Amino acid sequence: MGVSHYTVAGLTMIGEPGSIRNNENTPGGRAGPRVDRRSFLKATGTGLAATGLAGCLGDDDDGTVTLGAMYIFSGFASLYGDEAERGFDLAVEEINENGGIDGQDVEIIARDTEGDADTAIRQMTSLIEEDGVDGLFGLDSSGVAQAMAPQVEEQRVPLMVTHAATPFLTSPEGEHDNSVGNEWVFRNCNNLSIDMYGAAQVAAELNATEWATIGPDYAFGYETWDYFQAYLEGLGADAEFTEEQYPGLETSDFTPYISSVIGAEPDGVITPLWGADLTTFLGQADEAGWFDEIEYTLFSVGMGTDLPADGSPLPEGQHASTRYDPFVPESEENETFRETYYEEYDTLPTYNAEGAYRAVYLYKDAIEGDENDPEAIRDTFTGMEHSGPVGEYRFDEETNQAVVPAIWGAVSQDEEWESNVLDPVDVYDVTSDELDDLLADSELPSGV
Amino acid sequence: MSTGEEGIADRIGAFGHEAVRNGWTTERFALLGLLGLVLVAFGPTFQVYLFTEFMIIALFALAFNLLYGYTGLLSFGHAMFFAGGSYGMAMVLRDLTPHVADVVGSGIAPLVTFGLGAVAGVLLVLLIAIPVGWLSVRLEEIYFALITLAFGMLVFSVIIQNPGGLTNGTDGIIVTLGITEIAGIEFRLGDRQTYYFLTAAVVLPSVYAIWRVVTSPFGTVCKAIRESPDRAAALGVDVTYHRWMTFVVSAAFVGVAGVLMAGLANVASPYHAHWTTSAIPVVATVIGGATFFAGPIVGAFVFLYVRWGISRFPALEAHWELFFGLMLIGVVLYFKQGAAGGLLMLRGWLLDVRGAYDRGGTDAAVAYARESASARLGRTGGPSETEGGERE
Repeated sequence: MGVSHYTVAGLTMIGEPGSIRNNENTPGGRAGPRVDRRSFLKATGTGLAATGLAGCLGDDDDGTVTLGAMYIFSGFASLYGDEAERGFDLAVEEINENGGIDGQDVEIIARDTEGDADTAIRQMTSLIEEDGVDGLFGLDSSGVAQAMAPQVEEQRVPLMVTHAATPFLTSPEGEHDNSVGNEWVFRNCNNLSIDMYGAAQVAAELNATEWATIGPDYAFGYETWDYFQAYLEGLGADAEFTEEQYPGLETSDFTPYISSVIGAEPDGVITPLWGADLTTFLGQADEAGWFDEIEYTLFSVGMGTDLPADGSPLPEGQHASTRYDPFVPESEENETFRETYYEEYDTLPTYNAEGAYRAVYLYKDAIEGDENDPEAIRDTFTGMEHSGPVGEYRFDEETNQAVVPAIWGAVSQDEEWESNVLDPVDVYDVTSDELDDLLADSELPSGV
Repeated sequence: MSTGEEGIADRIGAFGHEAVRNGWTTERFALLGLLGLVLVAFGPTFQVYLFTEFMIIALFALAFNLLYGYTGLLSFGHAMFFAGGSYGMAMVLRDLTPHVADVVGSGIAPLVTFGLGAVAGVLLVLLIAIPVGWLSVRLEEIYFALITLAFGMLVFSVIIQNPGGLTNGTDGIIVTLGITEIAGIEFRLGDRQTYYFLTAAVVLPSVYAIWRVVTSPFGTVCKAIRESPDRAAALGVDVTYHRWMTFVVSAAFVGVAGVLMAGLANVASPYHAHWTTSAIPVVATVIGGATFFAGPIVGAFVFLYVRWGISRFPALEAHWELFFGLMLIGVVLYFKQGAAGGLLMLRGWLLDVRGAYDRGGTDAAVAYARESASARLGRTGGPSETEGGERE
C-alpha cells in the first residue's frame, strides 16, 4: 500500500535531533517543535538571512504585493494549472480594480512545477530569492507538495496549498511517519481525508455492503481506498471490501481492470480516477456494461475534471464529490463569483479555479491593515476565519487545514449552464475531533 | 570610433597578447576557474543554488556521454542510475541516522551518515548497472536505446510500487541533512554555500577522473569501438566486455550525480527514475556537442540557464516549452557540433581577429570582423552543411 510505516523515532531524528526531546517532554507536544525549530534556525542564521533577503527584495518594489503561483502548466495535467490561472487572474483583476491591497497592486508570478519535485523546488527558490515574493500558493501534486513543505519552512515563507490533497501535508510533523505539516504550510481546500469522510457517509446511507475501488496507481489512489475503508469502519457501517484495482496513469486499456472489478460483483465502487484517465475509463466501462452490473459508483475527483473536459461526461445519477460546488452555499458571495467567472470564461468554475481565486483573497485579507511580512502573514493565517465562494470557514490552529465541508451529490445535466452539476447535493460539515475519533482505530491522521 | 574606446580596445588587446606570451598555461587557467568557482559561492543565493544544480547535471551528462559520445551507445535509461544514487542516499539517511548516532555520537552523525549514504548510493547503482549492463550491451543502436529505456521504466515502476515500504511510492523520500557538530562548531551540510562547496569538491575530481578515463588506453578503445566495432574486434578487443565496463563506469558517475541531487533537492523523487530524466543528459549532450569532452558540460549550462532565463519573463514562462523547443531546433539545425563546437568556432574566429590585429592594429581587426560577419550572413541559406563538414 501507499502508506508505509517506519519507526517514528527514525524519521523525527532525521528531521531535527532536537524535536524528539520536545515531542516527548512538552505537554501538548505539537507546540514543542515549533519553538525548537525557531531556535534551531536562529542558531544557524540561515533562516534569518533568507528572510532578510526576501524581505529586502519584497520591499524594493514597494507599491506591489508579489505572490508566487506554482501549478502544473505543461504536460498531461496542465489542465489544472490552466484552471487555477483563470481563478487567480480573476482575483487579481478584481482586487486591483478596487484599490489593491492597502493601495498596493497585486502581482502574481506564475511558474510551472512540471509536476516534478526538482523543478518545483528550483522554481520556488527562484520565486523567493530572486523575485522576493511575499507568499506562495498553488501545487497540484501531493508528492511535490510534501517535498516542498520542509523547504518553505526553512525559507520561512507562507505557502497556501490550493489543490494537492494528501492529508499528510496538514498532519503535523511527527504525528505519522509520513506527516510533513509545519507552521508555514496551509491548505484552503478540503483534503482527501475530508472528502473520504463524505464518501463514507454517502456509502453508509446506500443499500450497499460490498465495496471495491479502481484508482490510479500512486499514493493518491491507495490513500483514497485506505481512508474510505477507515471512515466506513469508523462509522460502524456494515461494509466489506472486496476488490482493488490500480491501473497506471495514462492507461489506454482499462478493460482487464474493469473486468476484475465487475467479476468481484461489488454493490458499490469508489473511484478517484481523474483527468484523461477518467474519460477513457468511462467510455470503456460503459461499453463493458459497468453501470448495469454495479449499482453505485462514487467518483471522488469527477467534478474536478468533468466541467472543463469534453468527451464522456459523468453518467447522470451517479455520485460525485467536489471540493467546491458553484451552487453551494447559496450566498451572495458565491453567486457573484459564479456569475463573474461564467461571464469571463463561459464555463462554471471548477474547484481548482476557486481555490486559486480564494488564495489571492486570503493573502489580501491577511496583509490588509497589517504588516506585509512573512511571519505576520503566517500568524494571521493560523486559526484565521475567512469567507469566500466556498462559504465561511476557519483554519485549524494545529494542522493549518481549512475546515471546509465534504460535498457529495448526484450528477445531473443542467440545461441552463450547459454543464454537469451536482443535484441534489449534500454538504457534510466536519470537525477535527469528529474525524480524529472516526479514525482512532486506524493509524491514519485526519489531517484536519 | 572615438580615441578613448580605441585606447581601451588597444589596451585589452595588448593585455591578452602579453598574457599569452608570458605563458598562460592550463594550470593558470585552472586556477582562475577555481577562483571563479569560489566567487560564485558569494553570489546571489539563488545563483549558488542554480550553479550547484548545473554542476550536478553536468556530471550526469558527462558520465552519460562516456557511453554515448565515446563508445557510441545511446542509453535512454540512465535515470535509473540517477535515481539509484538519490534513493541510496535517502534510504540510508532515513533509516540509519539513529544507528550511526549510537556508534559515532550525535554531533558528527549527519556528516558520517551522508558519507555512508553516498557510498550506499554508488554501490546500489553498481548493483543495478552490472547485470543491466551485461544484458544491454549485447544490443546496439536503437535496440540498445530501447532495452535501456525498458530497464529504466522498470526501475521507475519498482519505486512507485514501494516494495517493502522502502521507496515510499510516488511521494518519494524526504532528505534532511541535519546539523553536524564537530568540536563545538555547528554547521548545516544543507546550507546553500556549504553544499555548493561540497558539490564542487565531488564534481571536480569526478570530471577529472572521467577525463583520465577518456584519455587512457581504455578511452581510446572506447573510441575505436565507436568508430567500428568490427575493426576493434579484429584488433583483439573484446567489444562486448569493454562496452559492459564502460556502461558500469558511466553508471557509477551518474550515481554520484544522483547522490548529490538528493541532498540538493532534499528529496529522492520517483521522477529521478522517469524517462524524462533520462532525456536530460541526452538533450544536454545534443545541445553541447557529443564529440567534445566539455560538450555535455556546456550543454548542461545552456539547458539550465536558458530554462532559468525563460522563467524570469512571465510571458515566456507561460509558453516555455515553445521557446525551449525553438532553441533545440536552432542548435540541431545550425550547430551540428553543438554549443561546444560553436564555442570552438568562435575561438577560431577570435584568433583570426587577433591575427588581423597583430598585422594592422584595431582598424584591421574591425575590418576583418565586419567582413567575416557579412560573409557569414550572406551564407545563411545553407550554412549548416559547410560548417558541419569543416569540423569533421
